[in-house]
Amino acid sequence: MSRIYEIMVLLDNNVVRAGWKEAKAIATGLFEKHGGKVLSARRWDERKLAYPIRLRRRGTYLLAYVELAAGSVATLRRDLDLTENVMRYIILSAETVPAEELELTQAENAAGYLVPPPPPEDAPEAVEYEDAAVEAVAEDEVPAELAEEEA
Amino acid sequence: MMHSDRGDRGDRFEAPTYEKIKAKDTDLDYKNVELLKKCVGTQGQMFSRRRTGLSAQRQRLLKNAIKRARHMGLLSFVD
Repeated sequence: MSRIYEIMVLLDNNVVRAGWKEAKAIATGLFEKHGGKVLSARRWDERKLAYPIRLRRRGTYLLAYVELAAGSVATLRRDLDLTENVMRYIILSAETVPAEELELTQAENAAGYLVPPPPPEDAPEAVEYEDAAVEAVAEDEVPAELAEEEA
Repeated sequence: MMHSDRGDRGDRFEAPTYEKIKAKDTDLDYKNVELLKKCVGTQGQMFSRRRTGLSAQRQRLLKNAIKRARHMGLLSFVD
């Protein structure tokens, strides 16, 4: 039995920089490989991550609605786990595809739509800086806020 | 003298008022990050029902949404 699934994928910005179409094809290609029918797929957002994932501080989210056989979800998960450029994913069952998703997907697929490239903040040299930032937070944040909570 | 600190505070105590998420139609979804941010504290802890003003059912939806958002890197586990 096939269902509609809402799938969000967090893609590595390095791949997105090479071209959004190609990056999108990584995800949608996987959905189709497992017998899925991609109903809508669009760039949801490019943003700073709440915490570093695989030493990346930014990432691009793809939001897709896919009609997929229930049995192939497990195999799709396995494939997504093995795909290097997919940093995170979430698969949820959905009743229907929201109308606005279809519209936004159409807008993205229309000719002349320009996907903004990710900002160049996430360079490899950011790694050292990241570690330093984490330590700084760990040192100074705790006492003041804890004291405030208890008061 | 010794208890002056405590006494003062006790006299002035008022029940804290919180901004509650009352709207019934509000979509408690992991993509609604701005809303979820209002439901967690400065250190990233979820607020209780008393504080969010939600029903048990909707608090559960909120819980799931927050956990999903954290997994996707949209919301922090700890700040």
